[in-house]
Amino acid sequence: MDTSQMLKGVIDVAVLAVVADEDGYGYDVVRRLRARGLADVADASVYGTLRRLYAAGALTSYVVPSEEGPHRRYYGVSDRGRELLAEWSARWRTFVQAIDGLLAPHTEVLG
Amino acid sequence: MTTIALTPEGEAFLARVRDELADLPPDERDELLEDIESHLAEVAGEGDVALAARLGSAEEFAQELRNSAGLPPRVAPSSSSRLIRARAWLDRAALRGQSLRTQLDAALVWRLARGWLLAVAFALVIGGLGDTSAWGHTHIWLPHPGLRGYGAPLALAAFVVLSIWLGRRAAAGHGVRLDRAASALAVIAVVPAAWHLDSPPQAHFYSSTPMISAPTPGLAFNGVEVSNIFPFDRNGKPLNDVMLYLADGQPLNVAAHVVDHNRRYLVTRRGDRVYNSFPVRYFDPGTTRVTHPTAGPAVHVPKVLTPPLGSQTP
Repeated sequence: MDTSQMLKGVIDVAVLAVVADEDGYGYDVVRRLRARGLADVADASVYGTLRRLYAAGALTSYVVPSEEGPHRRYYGVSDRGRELLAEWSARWRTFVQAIDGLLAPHTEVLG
Repeated sequence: MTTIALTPEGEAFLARVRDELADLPPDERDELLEDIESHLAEVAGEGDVALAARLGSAEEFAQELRNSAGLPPRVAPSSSSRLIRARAWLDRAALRGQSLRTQLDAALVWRLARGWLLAVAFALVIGGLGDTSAWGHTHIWLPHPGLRGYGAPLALAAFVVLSIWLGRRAAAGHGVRLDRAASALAVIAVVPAAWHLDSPPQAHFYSSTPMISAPTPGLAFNGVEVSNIFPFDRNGKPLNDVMLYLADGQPLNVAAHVVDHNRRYLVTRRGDRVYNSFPVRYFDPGTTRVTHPTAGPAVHVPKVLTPPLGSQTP
C-alpha cells in the first residue's frame, strides 16, 4: 500500500499532534511532519486539514505579521483539540496493536 | 506587505488556485489563499526546485486542498454557463426528438400566448398596475385597455397578430432584438396575469355612486371627522389630558394611524403613545413646547344647578 493512502487516514491526528507540540503555521507544520518521517505528506492536504480542524473547533488560529513576507497564520490546539487528540491516540494504539498482531508472524518470516 | 514578493511563477500558481476555488464563499477562499500565499513565498525562498515539481499542478493542489479541507467538489462557476448548458440541452433535445413540424407548432403556440400577454401588459400600463379595470368584467381573461365596445377584443387580436409577425420576421433573421424584447415583456406580464386569473375580482357594481355612504373613518360627529375634543368641568374650567373610552373599554383614539411630530402625545412608561387624551395639544413646530396650553374654543359653560355626583347623600 502507498504511504500517501495510509496518510489520508491519519493526517488529522498527525497534524493535531504536531500543533499540540508547539503552535505553528502551515508550512512549519508541513516541515515538522516531514522531519518526523512523513516524507510523503502533501502540502495542500496539510493546509486543508488545518482549515478543517480549525472549522471543527479543534484548533485556534491567530495571525502573526511578518516583516519579510506575507503574514503567517499560526494554529494552536484548543481544549476540544486536546480531547480529540487523547481520544484518537488511544484508538490508534488499539488499532496499531491489532495490525501488529496480524503482521507479526509474517514479519518474522520475511525478516 | 511583502519584501520577499512572490515570484511570477508563484503569482501564476496562486491565481490558478484562486480560480479553482472560485465557487467557495469569499471569506473561506481568502483565508485558504492567505495561508497558501505565505507558503508559496517560503517555498520560493528555498529556491532551486520549480513550484510545479514541488507542489504539483495548481489544479491538483486545489483539488487536494478541497478534499482535505472537507469542502464540496467544484460546482459550476456561474449561472450564465448553467444557462448556456440548459440551452444546449434544449437544442439537442429539439434536434433529437422533435420534427420541424412540432417545433413550428410550438413556436405558433408561444406567439399566440405572447400576443395575449402583450395585450395584458398594454392594458395594465394603460389602466394602471393592479387596477381591476384593466381586465374584462364579463370575460375575466380579457385584457381591457379602456376601450369601448369591441375595442378590447380588437386590441387583443392586434397584439396577437403583432406577436406572430415579430416571430416570423425574427425567424427570417430580421428584428431579432425586437422579438426578444417582446418575449421579455410577455414573460414579465405572466406575473400579473397569473395573479389576476388566480384571484379574479368579485362581482362589480357598475354604478359609480355608492349605494350606502361609507362611514367616516376614525372619530366622527354627524359625519364630520372630529380631530380634537375640549373638555371642561362644571365650573367652566378647562381640563387637560382627559382620557376618553367607549363603553366597551375601547380607547377613543384620534389620528392613531399617523405620527405627527408636532402633536404632544402622552407616552406610557413602556414608550407607547396614547391617542385618546384630550384636548390634543400641539408643540410649536420643531420644539417640545406648547406655547398656549390653555388655548381652546371660546365656549360659554352654563351655570348648572344639579349638585355634583359625589356630594349627593344617599
